Amino acid sequence: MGFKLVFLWSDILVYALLVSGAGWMWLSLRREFWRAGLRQVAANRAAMLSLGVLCLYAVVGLLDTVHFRPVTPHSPAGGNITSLLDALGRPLAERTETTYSAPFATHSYSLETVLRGGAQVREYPRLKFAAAGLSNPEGEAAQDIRGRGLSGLGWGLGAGVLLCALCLGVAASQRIRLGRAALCWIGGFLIIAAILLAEAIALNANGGYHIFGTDKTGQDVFLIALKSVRTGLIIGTLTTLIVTPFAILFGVLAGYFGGLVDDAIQYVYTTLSSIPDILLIAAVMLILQGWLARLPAAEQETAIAADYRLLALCIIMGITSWTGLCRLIRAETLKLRELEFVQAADAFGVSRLRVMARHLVPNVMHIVLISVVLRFSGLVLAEAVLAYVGIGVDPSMQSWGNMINQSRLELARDPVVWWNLLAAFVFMLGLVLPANLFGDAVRDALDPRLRMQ
Amino acid sequence: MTAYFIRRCLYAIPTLVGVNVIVFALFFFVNSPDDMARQHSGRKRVTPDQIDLWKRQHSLDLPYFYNSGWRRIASLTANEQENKAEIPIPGPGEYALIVEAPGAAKEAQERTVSLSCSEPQRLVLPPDFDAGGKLTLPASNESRRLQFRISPAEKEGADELKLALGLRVQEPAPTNRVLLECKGAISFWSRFTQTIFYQRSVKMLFFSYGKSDDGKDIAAEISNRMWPSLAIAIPALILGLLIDVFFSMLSAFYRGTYLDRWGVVLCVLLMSISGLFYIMGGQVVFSKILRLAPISGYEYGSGALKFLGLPVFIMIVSGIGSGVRFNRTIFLEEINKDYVRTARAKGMPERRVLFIHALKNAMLPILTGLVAGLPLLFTGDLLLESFFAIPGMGSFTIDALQRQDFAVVQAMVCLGSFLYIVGLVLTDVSYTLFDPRVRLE
Repeated sequence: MGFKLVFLWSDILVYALLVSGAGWMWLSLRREFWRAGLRQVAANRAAMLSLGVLCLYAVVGLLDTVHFRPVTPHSPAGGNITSLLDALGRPLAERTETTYSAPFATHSYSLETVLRGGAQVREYPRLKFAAAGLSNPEGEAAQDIRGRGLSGLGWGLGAGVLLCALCLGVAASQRIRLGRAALCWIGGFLIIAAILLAEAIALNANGGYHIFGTDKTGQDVFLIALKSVRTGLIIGTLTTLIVTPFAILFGVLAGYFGGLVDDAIQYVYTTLSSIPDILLIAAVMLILQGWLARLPAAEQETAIAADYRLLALCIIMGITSWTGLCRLIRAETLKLRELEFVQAADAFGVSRLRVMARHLVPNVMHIVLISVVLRFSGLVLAEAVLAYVGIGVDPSMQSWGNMINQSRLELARDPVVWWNLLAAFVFMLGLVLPANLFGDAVRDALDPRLRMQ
Repeated sequence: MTAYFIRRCLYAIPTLVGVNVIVFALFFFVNSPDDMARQHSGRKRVTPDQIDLWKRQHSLDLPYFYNSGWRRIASLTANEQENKAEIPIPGPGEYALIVEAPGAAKEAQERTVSLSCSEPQRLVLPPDFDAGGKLTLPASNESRRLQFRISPAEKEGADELKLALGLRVQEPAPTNRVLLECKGAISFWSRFTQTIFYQRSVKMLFFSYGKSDDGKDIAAEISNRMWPSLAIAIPALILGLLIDVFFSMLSAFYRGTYLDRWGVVLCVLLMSISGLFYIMGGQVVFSKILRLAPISGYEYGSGALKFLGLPVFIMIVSGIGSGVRFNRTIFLEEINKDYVRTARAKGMPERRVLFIHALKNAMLPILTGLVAGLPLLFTGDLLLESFFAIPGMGSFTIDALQRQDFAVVQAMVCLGSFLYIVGLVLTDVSYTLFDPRVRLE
């Protein structure tokens, strides 16, 4: 079976983001200011552990970013767009039950009428795929789960320790001295990651369970929550990065030139920021729906249309949030403009463009980084709210917002279906909490005002 | 002070105008009234007649910026191969025929238009028409506008004029139409006021919001729905402020200890949870399981109390994380200042230093920070109101969004930006009033 690689627009932007991020790291690490900041973050155990968790999410998100069309003899042009994560999660996707089932359940969550020995009986039907190997699930399930959990723990611990040893060995052979904090987070991260992975495999694999239950159409909620990771990450990162160049440009222009340019730029961002965010987003998304409906038929494939909508959402959320950053950069540039090195450059007749590129922009980058990192969690949370209002990502795209939105009706039914909400809660908290902790650490390390104290 | 206030208000006017222009561009240019009509009908294929009807019903059949006086008096749709209409016309003057064509090139077809008048000698047709008053247009997907004139009557009292309009096509299609327009007298002001821009955008600057798409008066709705929104927002604001200040002072008092450190971590944890979870969790725990409060609904008058308790509580809890953390940094900044050190050096107990000296000064940035948000209390909380079915401004907005009611959404955007700008003005004014360090030039 072959495949054809597909690059959606958001994929391309993610790759661009990775490349530019790596380039920027490489450039900035040659400066002492950034190296000192990095050392301070690296010494912060909570921040490094958070970074580890964020990396875990990033891996899932990246797996879901590599898209391709499987080519089979039946469809030489390629089938539906799938991602690496889809391919890895196929065993889960194929284990689709008929309807709701609770986490770790062996039986369905709703009563159904079945024929048994010629008589109609109301009962909870046995799930088709969960715990398939057990003949007497009522008695054996608890023991089976315990066994799988323990074996996952064992394998994970073993693999984690092994990986740690490997890392230490490599570090020792390269004569890299690792500090205590670094040891702590590398070890902790590798072991936790290995355990999580092993548990996920042990509990789900051959005849395993739906660890977060199944949703209304019988799909595995765990898989849906994993698929939502990419949506959350993209909204959190691309949104700020699409508009950050404009914020830097306008902020520096306004601060450096002053006068009419400053007035014009200030007017634009005051006007934009005075429109309530959610209403501006809503207005644009309402309008966009009409526009998407007029797309040519070739672009109407669900995955492509959903991708357009995701990007549009990123752009419009970015437009509502660049004004704060622009204001900060303008204020910083106003301060920098009066400093000796800029004055000296001006006096030497260095061109204004060069002053901005060499002296001003590099010196406001710490503000940019702080604001990108701090805004990330807010954007991930905002996605959920937008989905509830009906102006978020496409309903066909898996996202935590859509999961929460769906679970609203499930909470109202009796008995309550709570696992959709729980899965979204766990996955969101798992991303947003580390992001907040890491963001605080970055701010503490890079904000010169805080550094003095 | 008065002069400063007036100047500050004047500065706000260009911003308001800018907001209005952006909103107008968004709502009426990017999404033209035709698109709106199409979205509202909810069907894939909408005929131009249906679009025109919707536009007329919502008085969107006006020009954008300048009304030159042309108005439509009749239309003829190619529902059959041969279509005819007798149209009474108001009298002599300028007229125009607009031969519409379908947008898609592959649907274009040849059309023959014929025009005759009950008094043929008074009809002055452009040279495109042949002697019999017929014109054949080649297959094209571009519309044509043909102007003609009806000359004044030679003798008085004979102005009962009728035009006979014909349209022949090969394939009947509702997208092929002929529209008849006439140029009427229009006063100088109406040229600008009888436009979408004036009716739908300039009027909003003066708080005239018009009617929603389902025919309700938006201003009346706002004045009704304001009160339930305020009934949640004001108690939540005051109680929330007290609680936030209390906990942040506690944290600052025990700064550096485990209590403080874990308190901050708890704050970050609370901040990391989406507001939706607070609302949904609160509803399940307090209404469904503990049955302490009704799950949703509202009652005007004193009965509102039992419906308001839970939303107010949830609003406070969901804001506690960020509130405490923000206030804590302000208190810590204040504690490190010289006057606090002096007070300590004089031998004042730490409790007194913190709660008397620092609190007073720290409240200044906290309160002035609150002022900016005060006017926005009117617009209510979208999520909370919609989950608890409280008939406030927030649920009004959310309902409008879900019904795609453009008129209401536009009104809310304009009102929201106005209130935001009022908040900015109030913040500046409150700084000059309460902070002696800020002097007016």
